[in-house]
Amino acid sequence: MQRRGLARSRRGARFSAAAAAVLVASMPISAGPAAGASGPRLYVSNEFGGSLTVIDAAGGRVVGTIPIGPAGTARPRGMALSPDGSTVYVAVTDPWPNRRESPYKFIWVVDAGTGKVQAKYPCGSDPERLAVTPDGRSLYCSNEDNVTATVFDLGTGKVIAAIPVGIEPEGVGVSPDGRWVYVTAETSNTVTVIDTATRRPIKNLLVGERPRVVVFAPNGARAYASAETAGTLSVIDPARHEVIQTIELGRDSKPVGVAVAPDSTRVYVVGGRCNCLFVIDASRGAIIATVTQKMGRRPWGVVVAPDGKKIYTANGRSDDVSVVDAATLRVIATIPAGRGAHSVVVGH
Amino acid sequence: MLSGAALWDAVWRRPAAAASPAAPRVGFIAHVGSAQSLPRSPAGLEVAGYAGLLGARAGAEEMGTTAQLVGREFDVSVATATSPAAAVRAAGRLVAVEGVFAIAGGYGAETALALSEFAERQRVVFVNVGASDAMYLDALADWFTRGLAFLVDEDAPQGVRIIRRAPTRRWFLVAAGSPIWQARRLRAHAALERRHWGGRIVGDAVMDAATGQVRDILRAIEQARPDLVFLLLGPDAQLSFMKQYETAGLRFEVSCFPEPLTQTRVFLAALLAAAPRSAGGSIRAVLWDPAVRFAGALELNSRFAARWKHPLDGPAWAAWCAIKILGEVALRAQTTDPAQVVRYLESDRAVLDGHKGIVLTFRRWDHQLRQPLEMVRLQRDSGDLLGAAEPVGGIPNVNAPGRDPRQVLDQLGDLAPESTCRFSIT
Repeated sequence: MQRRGLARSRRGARFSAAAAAVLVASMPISAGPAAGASGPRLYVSNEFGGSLTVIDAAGGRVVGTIPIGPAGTARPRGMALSPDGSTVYVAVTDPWPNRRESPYKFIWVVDAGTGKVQAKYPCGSDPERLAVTPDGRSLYCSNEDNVTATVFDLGTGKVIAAIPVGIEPEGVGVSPDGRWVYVTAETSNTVTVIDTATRRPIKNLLVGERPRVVVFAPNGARAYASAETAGTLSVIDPARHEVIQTIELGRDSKPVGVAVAPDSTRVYVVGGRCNCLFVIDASRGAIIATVTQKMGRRPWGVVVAPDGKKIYTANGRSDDVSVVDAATLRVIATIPAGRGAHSVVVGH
Repeated sequence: MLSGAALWDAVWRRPAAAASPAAPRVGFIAHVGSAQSLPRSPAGLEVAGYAGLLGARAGAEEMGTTAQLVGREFDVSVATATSPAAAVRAAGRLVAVEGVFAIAGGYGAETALALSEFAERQRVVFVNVGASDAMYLDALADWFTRGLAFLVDEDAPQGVRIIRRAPTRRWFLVAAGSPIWQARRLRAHAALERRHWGGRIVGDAVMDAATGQVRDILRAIEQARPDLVFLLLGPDAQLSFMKQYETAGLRFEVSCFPEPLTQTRVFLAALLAAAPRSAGGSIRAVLWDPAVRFAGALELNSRFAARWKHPLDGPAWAAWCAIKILGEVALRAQTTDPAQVVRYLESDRAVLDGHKGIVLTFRRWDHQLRQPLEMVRLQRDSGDLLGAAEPVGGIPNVNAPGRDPRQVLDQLGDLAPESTCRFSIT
């Protein structure tokens, strides 16, 4: 049994070690973002629509659609932006985790301005989520089908490390100073702490059952990991890499997406089953409001506007984005997206 | 002994670290012969036993890895036995030599009974993953009340009604004559009446195990014109019945009580071969299906199939989940005391994740695992084991928002006032 497991892993390791960027010089784009939109843009990955929806955040309107592949086959999920906002990185998979050959299973590198696909980076057979370091030089992605996180040098597009993490890795978060990367794992219920200087794991934390997203507060003082089955949010002290609090969100909440306000005072968590947005006071670790009215169905992704005034949720069953006013904590608009809206990021 | 550290070692590329003698350890008793291979007979209990063995190994690898990730230990010791006496001997060795704090297994009612009695004598936890006879034995033999169990119950036909989205009001039951199947038959009657689903029993027949002849039953079915024929029969009897049903040319839909063996892809393929027209398109309840895709099921199914070259069917999932649950106890409750283990598992602290899209918990009144059932539709001309059935939904609906998961899942099984369980942990 051990030998078989080892052989499988080594195959995966060779695959990763030999990986290089697959340049896509002239990927046809049928409907890139429209020119002339001003202000920050939202990028929404549509898991079952095989596309990204581009939204002008200020105008609250869709300004373009970036096709990734056939609906139901190409599954764009986790996303990250380069620090300068010029590039969107998208983790794309397909419905067949055991198939290694696929035109979709890559980290897709998309020009945020034109919507053109610039390159595709291999990240195992089932890439799910990713994070870009603050200096813009490295990208960490989770390979859900394996027990590794892959690191890319964004200057060369080459794989520079495959780091062992927990079983069924998912969420990837990077600290504001770029020193630490946290990776959640849904089956082992762990968060792996990676030292980015050595690119080695230094610790694993046991968190709530089925951890999904992990993010750091902008001030770096805390990290937050949602646990979908447990219905909890683990509060982690990055100085010690220890769970210091577990916030109960309810067994029927199924929290996934987490975002922190720019001033780090609030944490926003979306509940996929309760169709709600939890608003948490970061200083007390207490829920101060739960937004439910007019919320879309199965919100999984959440992001806060750069000025902190609006929160956007990607809603997978209603195929839209809910816009929540951070002052009144009310849904003030709903913007259509594609099928199975999964994640949302906000640009410049 | 099965090391739970294989996956970890494979990935971290260092020699396998043997778990220390003090490591929390559980035992799994697999109903397989010494060859530990898939048997040829599709109706032999070893088919479920083999699936369970693979599931237990998968659970051991994953929980051993998880324990090491967080600086702890957890290990699983596996024994094989194909009779109640051999299972008890194996359990004795596991407790005395390996020091296990819990035993999972129990394929077949007699083996489950024997292991349950052993567990009570030895004060270890018994988790029944192989015999779905709990309620009957609660009432008559009191054996199952000494352990935790994975629910498969007589509410299964309601799932057929829901999934079909068509009236299924007229039920015809065909049961074997043995006491255990007759007890199940009575529970099916009670479930139908208690749940008020609008169904009624229009026929109720006993299949003669000695002759295997069902001519009179088929005639009665034809006259009753039911919406659904529900079989409370063992695997061999099911195959025999379905062959004759096919030959008779009856067209009423048939489903069955989901015994572990009859949930395997091997058995479903045999059923389709025996009665392609009658079995094809029919709907059955299973604990788990290897083609389920939601809530992390796709990843689990893919991981298991790639690693073990076998579909993660109901018995495999039950064994995997049992080991995972016991591993979670070792990691989170940090106890191996039987009473504390059971108290933890039945407390609000225990959050059990079986990749079913809803938190799983144990009922305090009958010690059954609350969990939804998956419903599958059998596929003719599938070509391979995986294609023999497709998932078509589950009961209860775990996606409906606004209710406590325990309330959702208590739509299946006995509620506290109905329970006859007398198990207490002291």
